[in-house]
Amino acid sequence: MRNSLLSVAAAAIILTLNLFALNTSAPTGKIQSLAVEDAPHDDGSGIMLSWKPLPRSQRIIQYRIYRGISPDTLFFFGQVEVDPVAGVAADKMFYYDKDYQNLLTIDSPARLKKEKQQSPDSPLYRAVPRDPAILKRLLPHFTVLGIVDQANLYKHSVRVINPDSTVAAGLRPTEFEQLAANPVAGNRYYYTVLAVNEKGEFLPPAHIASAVPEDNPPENSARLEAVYLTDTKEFRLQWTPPITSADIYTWQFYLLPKSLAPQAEAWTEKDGQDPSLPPSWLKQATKLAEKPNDYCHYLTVPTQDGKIPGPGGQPGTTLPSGDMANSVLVLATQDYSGFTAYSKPVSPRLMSSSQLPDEPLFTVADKPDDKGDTNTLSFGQPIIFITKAAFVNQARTKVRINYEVSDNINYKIEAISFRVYNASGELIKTIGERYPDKSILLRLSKTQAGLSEIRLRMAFRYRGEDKYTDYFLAQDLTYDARTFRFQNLDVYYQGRNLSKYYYQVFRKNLLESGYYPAKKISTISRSYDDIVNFETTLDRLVTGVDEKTGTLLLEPNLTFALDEQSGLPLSVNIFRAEEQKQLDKMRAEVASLKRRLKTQPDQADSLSALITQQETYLNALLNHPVYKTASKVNNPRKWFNLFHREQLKNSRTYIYQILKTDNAAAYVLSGESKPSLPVSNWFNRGFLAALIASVVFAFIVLFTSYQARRSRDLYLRPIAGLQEIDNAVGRATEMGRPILYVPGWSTIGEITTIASMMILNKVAKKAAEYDTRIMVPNNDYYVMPLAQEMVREAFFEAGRPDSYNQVDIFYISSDQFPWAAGVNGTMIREKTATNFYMGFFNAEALLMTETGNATGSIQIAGTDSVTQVPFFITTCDYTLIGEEFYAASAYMSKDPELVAMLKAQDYFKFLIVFFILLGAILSSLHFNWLTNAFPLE
Amino acid sequence: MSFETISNLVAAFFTLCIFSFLYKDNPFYQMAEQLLVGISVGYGVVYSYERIFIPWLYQPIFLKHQYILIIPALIGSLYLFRFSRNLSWLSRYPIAFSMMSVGAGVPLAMHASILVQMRQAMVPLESLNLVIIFIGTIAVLLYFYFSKAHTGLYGKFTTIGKWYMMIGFGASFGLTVMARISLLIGRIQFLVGDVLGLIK
Repeated sequence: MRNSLLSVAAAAIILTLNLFALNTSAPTGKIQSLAVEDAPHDDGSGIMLSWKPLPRSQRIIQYRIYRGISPDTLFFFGQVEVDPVAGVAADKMFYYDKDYQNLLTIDSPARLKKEKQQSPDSPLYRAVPRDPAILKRLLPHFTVLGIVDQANLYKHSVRVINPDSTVAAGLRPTEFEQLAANPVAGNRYYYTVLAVNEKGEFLPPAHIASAVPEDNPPENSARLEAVYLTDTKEFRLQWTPPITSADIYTWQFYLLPKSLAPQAEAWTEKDGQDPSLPPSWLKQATKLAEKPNDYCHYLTVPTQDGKIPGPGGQPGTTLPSGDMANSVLVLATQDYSGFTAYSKPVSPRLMSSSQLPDEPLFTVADKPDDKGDTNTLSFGQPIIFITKAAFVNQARTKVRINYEVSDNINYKIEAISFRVYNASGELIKTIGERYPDKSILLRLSKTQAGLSEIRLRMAFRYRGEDKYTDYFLAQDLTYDARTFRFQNLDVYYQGRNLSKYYYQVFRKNLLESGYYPAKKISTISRSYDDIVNFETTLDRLVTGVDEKTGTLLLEPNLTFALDEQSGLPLSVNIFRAEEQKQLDKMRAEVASLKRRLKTQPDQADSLSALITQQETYLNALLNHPVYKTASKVNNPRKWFNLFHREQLKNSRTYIYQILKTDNAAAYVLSGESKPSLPVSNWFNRGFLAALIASVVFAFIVLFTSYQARRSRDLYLRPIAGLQEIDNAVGRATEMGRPILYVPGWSTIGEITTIASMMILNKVAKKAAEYDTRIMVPNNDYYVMPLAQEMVREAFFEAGRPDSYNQVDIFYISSDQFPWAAGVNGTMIREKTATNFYMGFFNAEALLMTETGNATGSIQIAGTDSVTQVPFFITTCDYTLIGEEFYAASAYMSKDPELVAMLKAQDYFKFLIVFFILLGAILSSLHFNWLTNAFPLE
Repeated sequence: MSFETISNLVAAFFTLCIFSFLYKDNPFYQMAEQLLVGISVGYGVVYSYERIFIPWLYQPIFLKHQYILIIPALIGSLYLFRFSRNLSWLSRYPIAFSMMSVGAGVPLAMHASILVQMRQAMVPLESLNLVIIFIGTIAVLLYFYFSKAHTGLYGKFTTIGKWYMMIGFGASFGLTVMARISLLIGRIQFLVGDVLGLIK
């Protein structure tokens, strides 16, 4: 009867779904308003797509974007995910084809493949295939960047001779991690967009639209900040570049009379200016400086005797006479095509050099006890700052003050001293904090109750020192009656406001000539961990496709060092045979240039400069120690490895420089740090305590094993849940119903699984002895064979191999609730008499045990999952909590080895209790050496 | 009838099928349960193929030619010998290999679960809160000491530990029940709001 009802219900569902399939009409939803245009303010490598999103009723889950170089073949290259319920609230959706979008990955099809659900005449294809012939057709239309594993390029690339007889490194498309492509200015690109609804239907694509990207003038949104130091007569400039700053060639700075500021501002605000023509007001401006675009957006412009020093110390432009307060500055942003945009004019802040922040002092060190990927920068002494303060009693005589410590590896804080003053500067209290738990309690006398202003002065005592430092840290707190809390004011360090300034960390490695910004942090921070990755991939431009070998071509060079004298990057060819040819070619070029110098004296300057540059490079290369060593090595692999090692070392060795700034041009630049190469440490001292504890534990285990072998009479206290296991199995036998053993929700590599499997073995053995069926529903297909082994062994040990049924130890599902549903179904249909839940459980625990309760089974649970123990306690007859669960197998088997392990754990627990007691007593007496011997994190 | 309405009706039907278990086990509940298990397993097979087999085995070996991966692939494939009565012993090797990670985790567990916790427990007993926490830590630890019976003064002290745990479990119980009720509210909102349209 039940089965027939089940069939009827299933048939009804299938029929409904079929009706639904029949009722749905052909998909509509073509995007009507696709617009494709050149992206603004770029170098001509970007295209902007926009379209009106389809209505929410269409239940769209995705918009797929296709691109091609001709309208008859468009490849999928990007997508926008959409919530089908919420839809898109905006009127327009945008997609930018710029910043190197994905062209090809390992997931790309091997051959040209039509997009899903498309008619034979559709121009839409899946991603660009890994077919070299197609890639060769596409390559001239894009700037293609190959992201490639270094090992693939340096060790597995093939030597390909280019038509101009130069050599390239060839790699198959599958050897790249990814190929990314940017459009090229002047080429036409075709696009379309289609929507996918939640049924997975590809709706009709929008009409194919095209655009030609062009080089545009830069954005005029750069923001300039300027300071003029009245005593040293120098300008300090700091600026925020526009968002689209990749195309900027130089930054130019102009000084204008203040009277021209309205004209300059109007120029910036007005659209449609001819970017190739300079504004009229520029004629009256004085050019202060020009800086090539790099990543350091600050500049100091010194002046001398009313002039800006020119190149080589020559007198430069004369500054306008008069007060700088009557001048404004403008930042001109010029791109590579000569287009210029101008920022809004700003008045320089006039200040003296004593008002600048002090020079940032910092040290750089390889972070100790790490895998060699971090340099640690430490700034000055540690800092304390108050995070929260509030009265904690109605009489307002107690203030709980929470604080944070910002420290670094150069200082070990032993104790902190707080001096508390009232608004009139009287010392109220001194609080010593020997155990920095980030909270102090300030007790006020009745006369001081309800204090509305607290001034705190803080000092440290470092480990190994007897005295506190000066009270150089200060923070004032003011009570705010609306929030019932003290408001934290700025933190002062030696009289300087820390809350006002930032550290901008710049870094460069030994292969880079300029600095890059690494991180901007508040000056309250005292330390910064700079991650120096072990780079495994590199980006290289793809220069061509060789159809004969089916490879994409890359430059075959390796830059291994930067010449200290000239700053020239030194490279070698990765193919050793080619390196010598390359050298010979350069020498021949120099000789040819020298011959030309004799015959063409009118070009002497340019030819001499070229000859000097080439000779400098050759000398630097040939005299580099690694090159000299390598020239004596015959084996090409060993020869290359020498350069590769040098390249790895130089690319991971960093020099740092810090800019301390208020973000408004009042800055001071530190000196350069020494180069720092992080190295991997063999031993992590943070794990020393773990090593000692593990060795001690191992010795205890050996001792208890010896003890167990000598005397089998080791005492274990009774645990009710374990004593009842025999009865529970017996009950199932008497009722003639099976036992259900649920092994929990953990994978094979977890200790919980091992403990559960050991208990399963013992329970199965008991079941086998009574010839009772045992069922084990699994959620992990790796654990299932282990469970089968455990039960099989138990049945064999009990002498009942014939009763073992492998099918009873089965897999249900790896998902949590389907597994729970399956277990519940098994309980109900098999009418299990006894249920064991042994292992790690999550939310499914209550679902199972409630069902077990409803079916009247006796239930015994054991888990180390703290959140589920309450549910087991309330729904099961017996529950093993935490450690009891781990002890169960030893209890049940009485096996001397297992009992010895349990005894060892007990002795170790005793040691833990002893050390906690000792540590707490010592730290209460202000001796923290024992506490400090244990790891903090 | 729109796709949304159909999908809501199907979801409502299965929700009611599951709720019908509150009355008693019945064919509707069984159908919903078996569909859930079946779909989950089917999904798991496709997921394993698409997200594990293809990117971690097929692509590295056959497209990227990382032949070293053939070794773990062969070890893993020994699992398949479970289907053979005579050669099922071979499947124990990948199991043994997987067990290695248990041993590797011991030092980390010693560090994070024991020593760091010990340091956090060694607090100076300067306030009542800290004393309460300290007593709880010691009492609970001693509750799990199996070599001595819970009798006499020691037994009373370990009973304090049991009370600490029960208070903690009670709080956890209340929190989880609240979370479960919010799940039930979500289902009821779906039935009353999305399906019947009674909540606007």
